[in-house]
Amino acid sequence: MPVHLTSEPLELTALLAETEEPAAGALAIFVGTVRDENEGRRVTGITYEAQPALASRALAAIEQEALARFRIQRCRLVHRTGTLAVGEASVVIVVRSAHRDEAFQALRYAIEELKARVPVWKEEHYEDGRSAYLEGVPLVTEKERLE
Amino acid sequence: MHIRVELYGVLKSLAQTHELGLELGEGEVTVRDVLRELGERLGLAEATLSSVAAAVGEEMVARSHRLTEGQTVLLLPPVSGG
Repeated sequence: MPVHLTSEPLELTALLAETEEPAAGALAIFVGTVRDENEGRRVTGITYEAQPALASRALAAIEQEALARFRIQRCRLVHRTGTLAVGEASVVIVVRSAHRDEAFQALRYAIEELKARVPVWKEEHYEDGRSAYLEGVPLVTEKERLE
Repeated sequence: MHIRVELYGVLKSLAQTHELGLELGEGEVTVRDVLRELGERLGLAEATLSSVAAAVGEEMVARSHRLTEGQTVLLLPPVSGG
Protein backbone atom coordinates (compact mmCIF):
# COMPACT_ATOMS: atom_id res chain seq x y z
CA MET A 1 0.00 0.00 0.00
CA PRO A 2 1.59 3.36 -0.97
CA VAL A 3 1.77 5.93 1.81
CA HIS A 4 -0.67 8.86 1.57
CA LEU A 5 -0.28 10.40 4.99
CA THR A 6 2.85 10.76 7.10
CA SER A 7 4.18 12.66 10.09
CA GLU A 8 7.71 12.41 8.64
CA PRO A 9 9.18 15.14 6.38
CA LEU A 10 8.01 14.63 2.78
CA GLU A 11 10.64 13.13 0.49
CA LEU A 12 10.22 14.28 -3.09
CA THR A 13 13.16 12.18 -4.28
CA ALA A 14 11.59 9.00 -2.91
CA LEU A 15 8.29 9.81 -4.61
CA LEU A 16 10.06 10.42 -7.92
CA ALA A 17 11.83 7.05 -7.62
CA GLU A 18 8.55 5.33 -6.76
CA THR A 19 6.82 6.77 -9.84
CA GLU A 20 9.57 6.24 -12.43
CA GLU A 21 7.91 5.63 -15.79
CA PRO A 22 9.75 5.23 -19.10
CA ALA A 23 6.59 5.93 -21.14
CA ALA A 24 6.19 9.36 -19.52
CA GLY A 25 7.74 12.39 -21.17
CA ALA A 26 6.26 14.85 -18.69
CA LEU A 27 6.69 15.09 -14.95
CA ALA A 28 4.61 17.67 -13.09
CA ILE A 29 5.13 18.30 -9.39
CA PHE A 30 3.18 20.40 -6.93
CA VAL A 31 4.60 21.08 -3.48
CA GLY A 32 2.58 23.05 -0.94
CA THR A 33 4.73 24.75 1.70
CA VAL A 34 4.04 26.66 4.89
CA ARG A 35 3.88 30.39 4.17
CA ASP A 36 5.05 32.98 6.70
CA GLU A 37 1.96 35.19 6.40
CA ASN A 38 -1.82 34.85 6.18
CA GLU A 39 -4.28 37.74 5.91
CA GLY A 40 -1.78 40.18 7.35
CA ARG A 41 -0.67 38.01 10.28
CA ARG A 42 2.85 36.67 10.66
CA VAL A 43 2.71 32.87 10.66
CA THR A 44 5.41 30.92 12.50
CA GLY A 45 4.12 27.42 11.72
CA ILE A 46 1.11 25.27 10.97
CA THR A 47 -0.19 22.14 12.69
CA TYR A 48 -1.89 19.71 10.30
CA GLU A 49 -4.29 17.20 11.81
CA ALA A 50 -5.93 14.46 9.77
CA GLN A 51 -8.55 11.78 10.30
CA PRO A 52 -6.08 9.09 9.23
CA ALA A 53 -8.35 6.42 7.71
CA LEU A 54 -10.62 8.85 5.88
CA ALA A 55 -7.80 11.11 4.70
CA SER A 56 -5.73 8.20 3.33
CA ARG A 57 -8.78 6.85 1.58
CA ALA A 58 -9.68 10.22 0.04
CA LEU A 59 -6.11 10.78 -1.19
CA ALA A 60 -6.04 7.30 -2.78
CA ALA A 61 -9.43 7.96 -4.39
CA ILE A 62 -8.19 11.24 -5.92
CA GLU A 63 -5.19 9.40 -7.40
CA GLN A 64 -7.48 6.81 -8.99
CA GLU A 65 -9.84 9.49 -10.33
CA ALA A 66 -6.97 11.46 -11.87
CA LEU A 67 -5.72 8.27 -13.57
CA ALA A 68 -9.22 7.61 -14.93
CA ARG A 69 -9.96 11.18 -16.06
CA PHE A 70 -6.68 12.18 -17.68
CA ARG A 71 -4.29 10.36 -19.97
CA ILE A 72 -1.58 10.03 -17.37
CA GLN A 73 0.58 7.13 -16.25
CA ARG A 74 1.20 7.95 -12.61
CA CYS A 75 -0.37 10.10 -9.92
CA ARG A 76 0.68 10.20 -6.27
CA LEU A 77 -0.42 12.43 -3.42
CA VAL A 78 1.19 12.52 0.02
CA HIS A 79 0.11 14.85 2.84
CA ARG A 80 2.10 15.59 5.97
CA THR A 81 0.68 15.80 9.49
CA GLY A 82 2.01 17.37 12.67
CA THR A 83 3.53 20.78 13.34
CA LEU A 84 5.50 22.24 10.44
CA ALA A 85 7.78 25.27 10.37
CA VAL A 86 7.65 27.97 7.70
CA GLY A 87 9.02 26.62 4.41
CA GLU A 88 8.37 22.95 5.15
CA ALA A 89 6.35 20.94 2.64
CA SER A 90 2.81 20.03 3.71
CA VAL A 91 1.80 18.24 0.52
CA VAL A 92 3.54 16.74 -2.50
CA ILE A 93 1.79 15.69 -5.71
CA VAL A 94 3.57 13.94 -8.56
CA VAL A 95 2.00 13.30 -11.98
CA ARG A 96 3.70 11.60 -14.90
CA SER A 97 2.21 11.45 -18.39
CA ALA A 98 3.29 11.08 -22.00
CA HIS A 99 2.68 14.79 -22.70
CA ARG A 100 2.67 17.98 -20.60
CA ASP A 101 -0.92 19.08 -21.13
CA GLU A 102 -2.45 16.09 -19.32
CA ALA A 103 0.18 16.30 -16.60
CA PHE A 104 -0.70 19.94 -15.79
CA GLN A 105 -4.44 19.25 -15.92
CA ALA A 106 -4.22 16.23 -13.65
CA LEU A 107 -1.96 18.06 -11.20
CA ARG A 108 -4.44 20.92 -10.94
CA TYR A 109 -7.32 18.49 -10.51
CA ALA A 110 -5.51 16.63 -7.74
CA ILE A 111 -4.66 19.68 -5.61
CA GLU A 112 -8.13 21.25 -5.99
CA GLU A 113 -9.84 17.98 -5.01
CA LEU A 114 -7.46 17.54 -2.10
CA LYS A 115 -8.34 20.96 -0.75
CA ALA A 116 -12.08 20.29 -1.03
CA ARG A 117 -12.33 16.66 0.08
CA VAL A 118 -9.53 15.41 2.28
CA PRO A 119 -10.19 15.50 6.05
CA VAL A 120 -7.16 17.51 7.09
CA TRP A 121 -7.31 20.58 9.32
CA LYS A 122 -4.86 23.42 9.51
CA GLU A 123 -4.15 25.32 12.73
CA GLU A 124 -1.98 28.35 12.12
CA HIS A 125 0.42 29.58 14.78
CA TYR A 126 1.23 33.30 14.93
CA GLU A 127 4.11 35.46 16.09
CA ASP A 128 2.13 36.66 19.11
CA GLY A 129 1.74 33.10 20.42
CA ARG A 130 -1.90 32.77 19.38
CA SER A 131 -3.24 30.19 16.97
CA ALA A 132 -6.37 29.72 14.86
CA TYR A 133 -8.08 27.10 12.74
CA LEU A 134 -8.67 28.22 9.17
CA GLU A 135 -12.24 28.36 7.87
CA GLY A 136 -12.06 25.59 5.29
CA VAL A 137 -14.46 23.82 2.97
CA PRO A 138 -17.42 21.81 4.34
CA LEU A 139 -17.23 18.10 3.50
CA VAL A 140 -20.14 16.42 1.74
CA THR A 141 -21.13 12.75 1.50
CA GLU A 142 -20.21 10.77 -1.61
CA LYS A 143 -23.86 10.84 -2.70
CA GLU A 144 -24.08 14.64 -2.41
CA ARG A 145 -20.79 15.04 -4.26
CA LEU A 146 -21.96 12.99 -7.23
CA GLU A 147 -25.35 14.74 -7.46
CA MET B 1 -28.59 5.44 23.93
CA HIS B 2 -24.87 5.88 24.38
CA ILE B 3 -22.92 7.32 21.42
CA ARG B 4 -19.20 7.96 21.31
CA VAL B 5 -18.10 11.06 19.40
CA GLU B 6 -14.67 11.78 17.92
CA LEU B 7 -13.91 15.45 17.32
CA TYR B 8 -11.48 16.97 14.85
CA GLY B 9 -10.08 20.38 13.99
CA VAL B 10 -11.80 23.35 15.54
CA LEU B 11 -14.38 21.10 17.26
CA LYS B 12 -11.62 19.31 19.16
CA SER B 13 -10.21 22.67 20.15
CA LEU B 14 -13.59 24.03 21.32
CA ALA B 15 -14.43 20.89 23.29
CA GLN B 16 -10.84 20.60 24.58
CA THR B 17 -11.05 16.86 24.00
CA HIS B 18 -10.69 14.47 21.07
CA GLU B 19 -13.56 12.25 22.17
CA LEU B 20 -16.57 12.27 24.40
CA GLY B 21 -19.64 10.20 25.18
CA LEU B 22 -23.21 11.39 24.75
CA GLU B 23 -26.40 9.99 26.29
CA LEU B 24 -29.22 10.55 23.83
CA GLY B 25 -32.32 8.97 25.38
CA GLU B 26 -34.31 6.02 24.05
CA GLY B 27 -35.63 5.34 20.57
CA GLU B 28 -34.32 6.43 17.21
CA VAL B 29 -31.14 8.51 17.27
CA THR B 30 -29.67 10.12 14.16
CA VAL B 31 -26.52 12.09 13.39
CA ARG B 32 -28.71 15.21 13.57
CA ASP B 33 -29.53 14.44 17.23
CA VAL B 34 -25.83 14.03 18.02
CA LEU B 35 -25.02 17.39 16.45
CA ARG B 36 -27.87 19.09 18.32
CA GLU B 37 -26.71 17.66 21.65
CA LEU B 38 -23.09 18.58 20.99
CA GLY B 39 -24.13 22.06 19.89
CA GLU B 40 -25.95 22.61 23.18
CA ARG B 41 -23.11 21.22 25.24
CA LEU B 42 -20.44 23.35 23.56
CA GLY B 43 -22.64 26.37 22.82
CA LEU B 44 -22.03 26.14 19.08
CA ALA B 45 -23.73 28.48 16.61
CA GLU B 46 -26.16 27.00 14.08
CA ALA B 47 -23.86 28.08 11.23
CA THR B 48 -20.97 26.15 12.77
CA LEU B 49 -23.07 23.02 13.22
CA SER B 50 -24.46 23.15 9.70
CA SER B 51 -20.95 23.03 8.24
CA VAL B 52 -19.96 19.88 10.16
CA ALA B 53 -19.90 16.55 8.30
CA ALA B 54 -20.19 13.14 9.93
CA ALA B 55 -18.72 9.71 9.32
CA VAL B 56 -19.36 6.28 10.80
CA GLY B 57 -16.54 3.81 10.32
CA GLU B 58 -14.92 4.87 7.06
CA GLU B 59 -18.11 6.14 5.43
CA MET B 60 -19.42 9.67 5.35
CA VAL B 61 -23.06 9.68 6.43
CA ALA B 62 -25.99 12.06 6.07
CA ARG B 63 -27.64 13.84 9.01
CA SER B 64 -30.59 11.44 8.77
CA HIS B 65 -28.30 8.41 9.31
CA ARG B 66 -29.58 6.27 12.18
CA LEU B 67 -27.15 5.26 14.88
CA THR B 68 -27.06 2.17 17.05
CA GLU B 69 -26.08 1.70 20.69
CA GLY B 70 -22.38 2.25 21.34
CA GLN B 71 -21.54 3.46 17.84
CA THR B 72 -18.80 6.01 17.22
CA VAL B 73 -19.51 9.09 15.10
CA LEU B 74 -16.66 11.15 13.67
CA LEU B 75 -17.51 14.85 13.44
CA LEU B 76 -15.54 16.61 10.72
CA PRO B 77 -15.55 20.42 10.45
CA PRO B 78 -14.76 22.14 7.12
CA VAL B 79 -11.40 20.91 5.82
CA SER B 80 -8.31 23.00 5.12
CA GLY B 81 -5.58 20.68 3.90
CA GLY B 82 -2.92 21.44 1.35
